[in-house]
Amino acid sequence: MSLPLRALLSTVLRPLLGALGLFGLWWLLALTTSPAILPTPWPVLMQLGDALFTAQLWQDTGITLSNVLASFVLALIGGVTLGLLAARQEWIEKALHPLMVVVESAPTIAWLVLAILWLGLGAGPAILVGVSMALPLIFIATVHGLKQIDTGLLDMARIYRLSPWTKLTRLLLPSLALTLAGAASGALSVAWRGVIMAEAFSASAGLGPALWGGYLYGDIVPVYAHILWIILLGLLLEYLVIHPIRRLIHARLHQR
Amino acid sequence: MHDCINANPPALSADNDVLLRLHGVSRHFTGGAGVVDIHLTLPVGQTLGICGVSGCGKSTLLRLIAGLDLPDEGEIVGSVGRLGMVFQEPQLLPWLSARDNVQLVLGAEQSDKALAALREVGLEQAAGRYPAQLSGGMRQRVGIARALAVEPELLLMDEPFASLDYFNRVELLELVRERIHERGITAVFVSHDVREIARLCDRVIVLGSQPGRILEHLHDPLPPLERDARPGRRAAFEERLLQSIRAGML
Repeated sequence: MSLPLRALLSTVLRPLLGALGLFGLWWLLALTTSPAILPTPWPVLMQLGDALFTAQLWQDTGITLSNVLASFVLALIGGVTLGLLAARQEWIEKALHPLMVVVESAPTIAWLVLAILWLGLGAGPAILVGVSMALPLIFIATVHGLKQIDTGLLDMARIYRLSPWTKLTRLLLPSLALTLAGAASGALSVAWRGVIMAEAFSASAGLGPALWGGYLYGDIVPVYAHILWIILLGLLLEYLVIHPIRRLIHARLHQR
Repeated sequence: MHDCINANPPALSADNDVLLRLHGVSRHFTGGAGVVDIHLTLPVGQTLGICGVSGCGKSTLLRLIAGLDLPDEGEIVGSVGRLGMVFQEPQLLPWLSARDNVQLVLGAEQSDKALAALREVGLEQAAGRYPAQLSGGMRQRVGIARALAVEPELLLMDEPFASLDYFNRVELLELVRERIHERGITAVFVSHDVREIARLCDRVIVLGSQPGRILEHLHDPLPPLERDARPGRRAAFEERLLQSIRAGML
């Protein structure tokens, strides 16, 4: 088998076969289940196809994506900043560690209730829930990444008395980039899940309320159409945003 | 033993003759490693060699002199402005080009100076290449260019040629020696290779191990360049160093 054909098989055809297999399984299960619980794939795909030509779906998608992006950016800034402080002072790391464990292990619903209490209804609680889920991942990756930096490079920075800014931007952040890119993928994924869940209960617009509203009104096909759209968006984010960024960082860090 | 090689170097009295003084410096590590009771003066414009067997505390002592570590006992008196250091591994940032690695320690406005430093070590043509695109010898040249570019008051070298092949080792040693001589740089050179020490250093301390302590302090009044021109003298210096190291192993 020629190389391009083999590459095409592994990158496109096999994942496609996997997806088709899932649809097949869904279809078989739907045949043995009430359509009020599990409709067949076809009406769901038709519903999604129709929705893609409506302004409402794109408006909801835009709102959810901006909430996810806001929570991701806040988690990234907060996690990296706290991680840098923790790496600088051991007592800060010791003080923050239990806090991060609590934040990470607390049920999402608990955060949501607190967020609604503190911020009221709207986008705020969704963003806060997204941050609470993503920030610990970024913090842990930052602390771990900083501990992995070659001590010889840190010695070099001390010998040549690099300014804190130069050290941060030319040594620490590039050293962290690859570890952070890996953590960012996980952080984006949990922020995505957390924001949609929180939106369903705290917001009036976005994919979360659209999904939850469909369920409340007994419109099962739109519920599945929204779930399928959310899964597709998650995959697109991973493969069109996170993967290219990770490849770019890898190429930049390992210039050949 | 050659008559002119002095095991008790002349005392330096005036403070302006001395860059750093170490008074009873000790640094302890578990398992008996480290250095104890080091008394040492670093004369301005001279190259001090530190040699001894592996694990005798050569690098520990260099780190103390560099300020990268602090002594448990004793004190280091004196202040050094600009420091340059050539590490055993070049410690270059892989995401920066050779030129940017040098410029990193100079500041953004000194791009020409970075290029001049690379030219000095024969790497002008490779200035835009990244460390992964350079050979081991070329990477070490970048490390040397970086150390010299800051116009160091004190140049520290921690076995800088240990991981290089013979050709690069000889060539880079010659390059470093010339620059030190031309600019009158004060330097500390750590190596376990007595031939390198004999070619580069005015004074040498030989460390014994477990814990590292000074066994002998040798001084040859003949500058390294002149010593190198007299093979007999250099061989005697090397032999004297070897004897001292062997004595420390017994």
